[in-house]
Amino acid sequence: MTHAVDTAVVRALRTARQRKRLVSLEWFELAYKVYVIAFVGIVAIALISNWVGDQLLTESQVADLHLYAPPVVGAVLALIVALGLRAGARGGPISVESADVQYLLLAPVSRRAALARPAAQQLRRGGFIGLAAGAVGGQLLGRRLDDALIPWTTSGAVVGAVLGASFATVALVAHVVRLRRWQATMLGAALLAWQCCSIPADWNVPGPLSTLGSLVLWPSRVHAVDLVLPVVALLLAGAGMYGLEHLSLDALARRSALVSQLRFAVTMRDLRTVVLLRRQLSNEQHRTRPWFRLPQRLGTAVIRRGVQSVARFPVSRLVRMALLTAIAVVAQVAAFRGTTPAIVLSGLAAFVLGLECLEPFAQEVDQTDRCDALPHERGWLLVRHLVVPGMVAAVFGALGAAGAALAFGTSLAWELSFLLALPVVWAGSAGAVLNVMAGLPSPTLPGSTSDLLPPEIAGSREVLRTLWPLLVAVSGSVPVIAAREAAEDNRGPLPPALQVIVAVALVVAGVVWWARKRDEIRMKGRALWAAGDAEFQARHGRPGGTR
Amino acid sequence: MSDARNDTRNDTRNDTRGDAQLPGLQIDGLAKDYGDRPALKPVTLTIGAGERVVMVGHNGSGKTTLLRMCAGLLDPTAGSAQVLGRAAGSAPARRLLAYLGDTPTFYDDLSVREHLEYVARLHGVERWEERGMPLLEQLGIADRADDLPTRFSRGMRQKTAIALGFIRPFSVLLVDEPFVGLDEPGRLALMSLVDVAHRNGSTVVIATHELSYAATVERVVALREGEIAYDGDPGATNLHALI
Repeated sequence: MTHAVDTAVVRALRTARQRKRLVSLEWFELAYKVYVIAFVGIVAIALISNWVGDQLLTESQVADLHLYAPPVVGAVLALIVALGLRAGARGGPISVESADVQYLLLAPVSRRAALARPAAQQLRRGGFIGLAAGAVGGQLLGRRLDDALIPWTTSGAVVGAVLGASFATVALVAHVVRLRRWQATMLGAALLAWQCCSIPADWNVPGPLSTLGSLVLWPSRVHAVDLVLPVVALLLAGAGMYGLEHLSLDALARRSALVSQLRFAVTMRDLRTVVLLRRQLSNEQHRTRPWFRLPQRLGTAVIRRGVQSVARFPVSRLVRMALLTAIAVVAQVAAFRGTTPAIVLSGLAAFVLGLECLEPFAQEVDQTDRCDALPHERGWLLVRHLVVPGMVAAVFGALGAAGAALAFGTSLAWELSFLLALPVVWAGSAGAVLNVMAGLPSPTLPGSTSDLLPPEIAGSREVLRTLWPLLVAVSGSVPVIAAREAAEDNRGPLPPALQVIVAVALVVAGVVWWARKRDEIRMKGRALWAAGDAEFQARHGRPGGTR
Repeated sequence: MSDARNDTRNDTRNDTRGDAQLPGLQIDGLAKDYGDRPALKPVTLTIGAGERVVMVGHNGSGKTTLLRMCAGLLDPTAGSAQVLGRAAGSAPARRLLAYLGDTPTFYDDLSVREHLEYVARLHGVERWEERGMPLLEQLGIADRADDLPTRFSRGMRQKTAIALGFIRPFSVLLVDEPFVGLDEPGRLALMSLVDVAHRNGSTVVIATHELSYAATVERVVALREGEIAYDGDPGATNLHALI
């Protein structure tokens, strides 16, 4: 079959399907989405513009810009490249429908022709988002430098486009050359570490990717060598597109089933499912042989089940948990040194660590039918399932605290690290518990009541449901602020931190209590609602309003 | 069923005949590991052109893994497979080999007829209606040709998948658990289609638990724990002991 025939058939199908979709499009729904996006966008622009400010940069700030922009932008590129390498080694970045794998990619058509469109879409999307963001950034920079805006906007746009398209480009090439996961990890980590070493000015380490950052400064001075990376990026994108024929069908088949579920889970803000699907996407499986076995008769059934689950965590997962702990530690140190927003990063890292630790608990929540068939109250069971994850989180917290204490070596560092570690990891886990339990249906009442609520209440409820777990997770990182403020006032940092820790402990205890009593509280609430409804019906002879 | 191979012999763009001198499937040390668990230990197997083989084995014995690797849907951990001398998964091999998986997948927005048209045209079959409609009639789903297969029951989906497998020309047919969910007319139709393909010289490999069907073919390959436990005449062994 000729290449022209392949392209014609594939194009004909896609055109026909596009036409069908257009016919069945819900225009009102689309208009509502545009309205929501426009509203959120305007609010975001208003907030960001207020945050950015437009004072002119001082001379020292301009000097810093010239000194640090190239290595820092290079570090961002290195991070994107590292992530792209990992994604490519896992079979990314392209995802196609399962039916496409079964019929289109198993047909004797050119896979390059079949996959060119989704690949180009990925590159184009990343490049365009980067271009837009880079242009905005360049324009803002030009304003603060009181310079001509077009050159700064252009240089920002070019750098942004390269950054934006790099992920898909690198992932594509890594997939085409069938880079192994460990190779991708090593390569990405080495590149990132090297580039990061170029940031401290006094280290005098030339960064391999700093020339891209240098391109930002073209309006003020021109280095021809800065064009090398954009050209290399273009060549790699071309190589990736050319190599589409060599993509692994195995990986495409695996991704095809999972990516649509992943997107759905993201839209539903179901972070537990996102984590679960990401694990499947990277083909991460529990160990067939556990790291250790519990002696017979040791522990209750629930505790044994929890330990057996943890004993099957694969190496990749343990490494990821260690990395998350390290991120939380670094963020705590940054917060102690004055960067208050770092507590958000610390809380988020602890939250994701909590999701990892909660595996036995989350499995129980995932298998609701199995759980409900047991001769125990669900709350009773779930709370007991928190014991092992709590211990695992504590172990990682202790390891992080030990690492931080060893790095600083003072007695205060030892005391403070271990004091702060537990609230961070347990509050993170508490947030994760709330997130995991959000998808748990009521045991006796079919369905949720959320769809019966008025839209205004349902919307607020959804926002609360999304943010509440994250707020609880971040609350565990607040004690470090109390410690910092006391240290800044030359007071002992431990007592104020301890006071906040007590509050965090109450929050964590509240979450555990909620896990225990959730069903009971919901049933009481529903009974009250039903009683009110019955009374309304008795008085007015018709069912109550929105219920 | 009309002759899948004869139908396309007039179409000069397609060569689905392969070389009859070469084995239909040549498997050399093919192995697959899933993490720390070997799904298939190195397997070496030759299936002659035009041969009909039934593959049996208990759940998890490696049948599906082996077939998916031969179809190019799974990357082997080691070894290689060739379809009439072409590397499994390559475009020439895809032209020669039809794979009917155990889990039918369909496009959400295409009807049965549109699926048939698409798959047929991808394989260079232009007069697809001439073969497609009789195929649907034989499988008993002609009256549902304009419906969406994603809304079908398990059995109807299986029948649609069978139609899609047979609408295109092939020289090697791999079928994984074909009888699951099929009613009696569906089973008979499938067996008839397979018989015709075999009589017309196609190599046919069927993975199944149906020992009654295995007893009707000339060669049975039994897999156990990812290894070949038996390869030979089904009449010369106790099939029940193999799975």
